[in-house]
Amino acid sequence: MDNSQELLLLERIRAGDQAGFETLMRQHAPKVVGLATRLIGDRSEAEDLAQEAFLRLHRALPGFRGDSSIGTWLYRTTTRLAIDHLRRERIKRNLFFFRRNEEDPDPLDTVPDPRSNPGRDLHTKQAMARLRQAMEKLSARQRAVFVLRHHEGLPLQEIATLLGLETGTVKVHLHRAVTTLRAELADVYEDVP
Amino acid sequence: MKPDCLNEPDLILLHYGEAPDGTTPEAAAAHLAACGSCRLRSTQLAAELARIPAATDADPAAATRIAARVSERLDRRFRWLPLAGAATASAIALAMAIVVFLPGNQSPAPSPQPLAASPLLIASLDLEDEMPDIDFLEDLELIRNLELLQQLEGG
Repeated sequence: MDNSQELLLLERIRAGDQAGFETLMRQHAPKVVGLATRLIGDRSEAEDLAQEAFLRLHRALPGFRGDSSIGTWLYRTTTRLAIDHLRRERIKRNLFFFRRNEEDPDPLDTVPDPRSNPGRDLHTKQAMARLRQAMEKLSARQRAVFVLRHHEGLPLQEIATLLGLETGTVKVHLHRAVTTLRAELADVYEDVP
Repeated sequence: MKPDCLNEPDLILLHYGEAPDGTTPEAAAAHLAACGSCRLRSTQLAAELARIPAATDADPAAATRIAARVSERLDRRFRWLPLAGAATASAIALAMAIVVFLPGNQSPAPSPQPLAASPLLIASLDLEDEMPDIDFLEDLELIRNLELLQQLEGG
């Protein structure tokens, strides 16, 4: 859907066409859920997050000026919701385990992942579990920058705009994220021929 | 590693097609072509990053599911909106009525005639007159409770 079609659809929605909003959701939902899943690593929570992003979009539509596309707006909102979610989860986890220091090892890292299914595609499952553990070592912003650059392929300048950061700060986050992931996944790299 | 070799942050930026901070992209590319050590580090970085698994794509049914859930939430909101509006209007009307009829907010009446005509105002004025007695009764109640506590402790 190009910009003019999107603007027409927005007009229909503003005029009260609820079916138009459903069309918009069906068009953007796969990308939004995919991004949310990559950002927070849990599909069910990612769907809740996507749902919240669409509800916020609906609230924002009357004042939507079209400075950015709906897709960009959703990317920005989803990323910010995911960063908030990751920060809240970290605080909850620290409180639950009475971890006094952020540098202390995360007790959840030592607990086997209950979602793992040993009977099916073991190698992929293990790789995903290791990646999830490694991603846990990143701060919410480092994680967001890495996912947006590595998986979503967004230029750093665009990521800076999405997150409201300086490009230099985004570069630092990317460097720290890559360095941490390489260190955390070093043994995985050694196992692979 | 030579002094003019590319540092780690610049190698990462180059890998992602971004301009490095320490040098121009052309100079960095020329250095990579000439320096075996940097080329090896760059290749190693690319190989390691390529092995990072991407999260599996979203469930194709997720879009339908989310659209249905959001629509349901919006429907529910719109269904309650007129009722919520009516309730808010009633609450505002009630609040305004209370403010208007409160004795403290009445402008000084020219004569006692209009005040006596309103039973609500009569009740309010009576209550105000009784206020010191109510305070006194509360004090009495406290003394009784204190006495009871003393008896319990003594007994």
